[in-house]
Amino acid sequence: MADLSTFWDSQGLSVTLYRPSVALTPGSPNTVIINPRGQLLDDQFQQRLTLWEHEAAAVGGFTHARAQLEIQPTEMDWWLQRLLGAHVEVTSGAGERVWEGFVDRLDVVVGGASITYGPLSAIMNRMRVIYQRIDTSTQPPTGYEQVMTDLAEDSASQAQFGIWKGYTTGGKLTTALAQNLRDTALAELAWPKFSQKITVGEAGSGAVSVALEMSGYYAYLLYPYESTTTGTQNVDTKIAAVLDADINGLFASTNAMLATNTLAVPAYDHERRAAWTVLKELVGYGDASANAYTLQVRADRQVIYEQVSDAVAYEFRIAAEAQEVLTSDQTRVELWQVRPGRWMRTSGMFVGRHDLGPSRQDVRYVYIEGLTFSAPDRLVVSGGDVDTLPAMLSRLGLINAR
Amino acid sequence: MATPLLTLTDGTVRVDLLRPPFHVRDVFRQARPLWKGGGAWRDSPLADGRSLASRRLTNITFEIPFVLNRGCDDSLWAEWAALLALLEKGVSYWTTWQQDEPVWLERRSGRETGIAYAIIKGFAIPDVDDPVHLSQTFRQRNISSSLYLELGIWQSEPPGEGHAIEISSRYTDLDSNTQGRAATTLPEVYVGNKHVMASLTDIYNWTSPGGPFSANLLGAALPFDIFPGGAAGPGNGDIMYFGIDTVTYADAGPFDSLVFDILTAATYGAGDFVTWEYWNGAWVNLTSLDWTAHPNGILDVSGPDTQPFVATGTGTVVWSPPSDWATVAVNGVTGYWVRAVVTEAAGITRAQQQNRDIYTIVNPFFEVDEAQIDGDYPALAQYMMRPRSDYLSSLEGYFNRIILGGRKMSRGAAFDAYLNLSDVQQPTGHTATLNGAGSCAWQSDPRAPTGRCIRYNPGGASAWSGEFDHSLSNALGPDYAGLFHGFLRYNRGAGGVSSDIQARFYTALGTGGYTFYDSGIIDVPSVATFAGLLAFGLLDLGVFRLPPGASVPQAGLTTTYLRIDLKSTGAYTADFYDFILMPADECFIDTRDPVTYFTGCQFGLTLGSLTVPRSTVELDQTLAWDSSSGAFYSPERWWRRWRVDAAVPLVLQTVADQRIWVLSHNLNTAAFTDIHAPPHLALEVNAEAADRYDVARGSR
Repeated sequence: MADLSTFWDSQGLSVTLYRPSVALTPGSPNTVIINPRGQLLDDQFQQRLTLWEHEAAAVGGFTHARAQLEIQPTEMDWWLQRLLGAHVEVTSGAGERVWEGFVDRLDVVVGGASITYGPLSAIMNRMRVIYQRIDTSTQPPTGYEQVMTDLAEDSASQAQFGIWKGYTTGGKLTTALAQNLRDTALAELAWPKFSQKITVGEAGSGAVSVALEMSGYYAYLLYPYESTTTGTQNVDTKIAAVLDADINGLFASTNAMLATNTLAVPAYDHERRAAWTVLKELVGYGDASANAYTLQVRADRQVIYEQVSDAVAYEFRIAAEAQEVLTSDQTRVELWQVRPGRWMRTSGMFVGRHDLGPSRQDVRYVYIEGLTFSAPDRLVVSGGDVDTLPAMLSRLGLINAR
Repeated sequence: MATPLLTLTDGTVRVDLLRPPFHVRDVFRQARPLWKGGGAWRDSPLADGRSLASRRLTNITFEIPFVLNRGCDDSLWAEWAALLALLEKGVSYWTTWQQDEPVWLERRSGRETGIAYAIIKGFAIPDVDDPVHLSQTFRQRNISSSLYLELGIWQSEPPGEGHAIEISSRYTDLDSNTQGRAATTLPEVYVGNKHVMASLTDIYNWTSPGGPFSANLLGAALPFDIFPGGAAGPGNGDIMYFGIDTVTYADAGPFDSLVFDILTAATYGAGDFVTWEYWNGAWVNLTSLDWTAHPNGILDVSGPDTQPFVATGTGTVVWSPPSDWATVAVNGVTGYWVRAVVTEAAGITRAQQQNRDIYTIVNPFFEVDEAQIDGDYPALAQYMMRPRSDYLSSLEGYFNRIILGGRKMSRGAAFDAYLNLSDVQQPTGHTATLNGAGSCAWQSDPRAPTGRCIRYNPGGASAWSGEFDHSLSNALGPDYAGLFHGFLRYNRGAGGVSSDIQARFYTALGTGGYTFYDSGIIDVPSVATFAGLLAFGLLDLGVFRLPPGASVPQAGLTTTYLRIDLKSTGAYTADFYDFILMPADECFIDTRDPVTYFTGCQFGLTLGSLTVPRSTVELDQTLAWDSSSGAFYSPERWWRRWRVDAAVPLVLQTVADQRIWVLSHNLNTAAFTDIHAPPHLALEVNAEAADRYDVARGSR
């Protein structure tokens, strides 16, 4: 395992941990405003970490992170109560947000016991059941009209974790049975789950190892998006509408930079799809000229929707001793500064070939669809070129087949 | 005998490990550079043994057992802190941006002449004996330990530095005389972007109004006056003529430059100037870049009207050969001529040529003699290159891509990277042939490197056919053994889209023999013209090995063919000028301006592996003078860094005569997709190197 003791200081990076505050206003339904920076838990959290790895994607922005730390057994209860859902910020000395998200799951190993807590993103504390209602007044029963139950909410869970809204699909049910199913599901899904694995006979080190699985705030875009508006609207207008439908006060079109995209898409959306699913579909449309777009959730939950640039942002010197990443003007970039949704060129291979620029014809160029940074000095970039065909097919409702 | 030396330094602070308070306890132990991972080997259970596929060197390690002693603990720890501070600085050079000064070890033994330098990459002092001294009485305080250094390879200069090496670029002219610049460390070597045989045959001056012409100044005793009038200087209307005789010499042709070496610089009064002209049926202005016209740190180079020969030393006049340049008889000699016409109002003083004949640039390479590079490993090199073919952009002679390929002369002195597609100016063993398909013909064009080229003009849609080739005789086969990145220079006529003419490149043995490398189908795109000049496109033919199919070079195989098939969808035309085979198996580097810019002669380019030790190879662009004021900068100002594609550092082979072949481009659109390679691009070059040694330098 790499020694991180000097990494954070030498790079001027800090990891700050907050306990979010959730302001819940009871009602029908409840409303919630989450403030991720509710209470500062630790502004030098990086000093505790023995592992740090984060991921970012061209569509998603800050997506996932993993960390590991060791705590004393006496601290275990304190951390267990506070870590799940905690807001995490990695910030450079210059104030640049390197990564941001929340703790989605904990894996605690203490001696021979392994405890998993979460994932938070799997809970549902606002629930409906969609079912086909049976009319029992006829012989045989008739009906089967698709309906939804009223909302059921767990206010205590929402007050701690915000609203995680979901639907459970029932079959042919009476209203009473559907409501019973809803309430049962709510009771079981409203809170993060614990699971344990106990191995008897395994020696422990005396310390407690905690592994954190973190998600970017895109994971809060799981609320079902519904719109009964008729007609069409521009892609960027619909993206704004999806963001404004957020039920936790984390996203808003006023905290977004949305490139104008006049491609007209249907405004109506009544399939109760997750907002993130709708957003990915809208990004996949591209624009009328089949240009590709990215959508990233970045610092302070700001959503950036923009056209993919042809500019080459990075150069990776594969044959260099130092294995450096440079900007296009040959300035060195720290590996944690590399961002997805940009073009990277590898130099030192295929020397002498005509440079065709960012394109599928020149293998030296890669469009960074996703990346994983592992502290202190490992970066894995995945990607290819920017295809516009999927956007075009997506818009036409077609698939590419052989 | 020299004083032994073992010193850590950053160039300012020095910690001498052989002087008190340091005492070396024992002999040093040095681990030679090994092969990373033991090298990459190829092996087979069906074969005996195994073979080495590739290797790269590790750092070297150096163990120095030492004792540090002082009379009191405070001064002891102060010395210890100084040592550690320097070592920490050395490793910080690799781990941080802001610490940009390397630290190195200087080493010379007591009976050794030369000092060797190795950059520090890491260190360890694993333990320290008796670091705590309890006694308060005076007693020698000691720290006993071993310093383990991880070092780069030993060099002849401190990291970041090199020594000037001599380079040259000479050729045999049409009269079998040697022209060009002999080996020098000075920035007086000129490299072009074509390889031709046409050289100056005649230089005359003519005294106004009635003559006479001077005798031929080519080969005249040095120094000689360039202007007529001798010590009195020229008079109004006097003319200097520079030409190539196209009647007497079969390998004559147009030319695009003149190189002077001025002993006595001319001075000009108010209203005095010289006009450069060429013949197109009449004498007309020649747009040129006159680098001989920069006195007193002020540049005035954009012709036709200039004040040439005002700076002492070497200087060039470069132009793009005009499309209507025609031969004419001057002093009874018919050929391609340019002339400089004097307009004198106040009084122009004499200008004298020294050291060598005035010549034209014909070589796209410079040479390094085997005596220039010593050591056990290829030397790190650095080339200082200054564009000389464009001021701003009027000549299409600017640079933003330069490819270099090194090749040892021992692999074949007859190797020529530039293979003209011409029925003239072919060295022995080279033949360009039209294959009789009827769509190609020889074409005269003064803009072509040799003045002749192959014109593809199918007159309508034409299926694939073998149109032309350049063959290398069987005797040349061994000289061409190696790996090459091939290019084909061309100009596409008007009309159509890129794919309306397509090409396919083959290497082949024998006329009806086997074909080997096949480039596949390549579109021949139109390249946007610039400033009304001819657009010299460059097709990328890919990487291939010669001789075709032969892993061991042998004389007497058979003729090697570089062959082009063409296809057209309609009545489109293209002219083809030369194949360019850049050597890709010794040191092959492709550099490029990362953004669109006209890198003309106001810039300097420093390419190499010396200046920035932590970088494999860099190209830094500097601003030599202000184009608005004409004022020179000294030192030149850093402008920006080019992108460098290189799998290896920029190196020169040890104790070997070698040629560094150069292919320069300019790219005239923001997207960099239009590749231009005008033949008249010219660079002025000088070089530095740092030799590299295994465990010691000795007297080298």
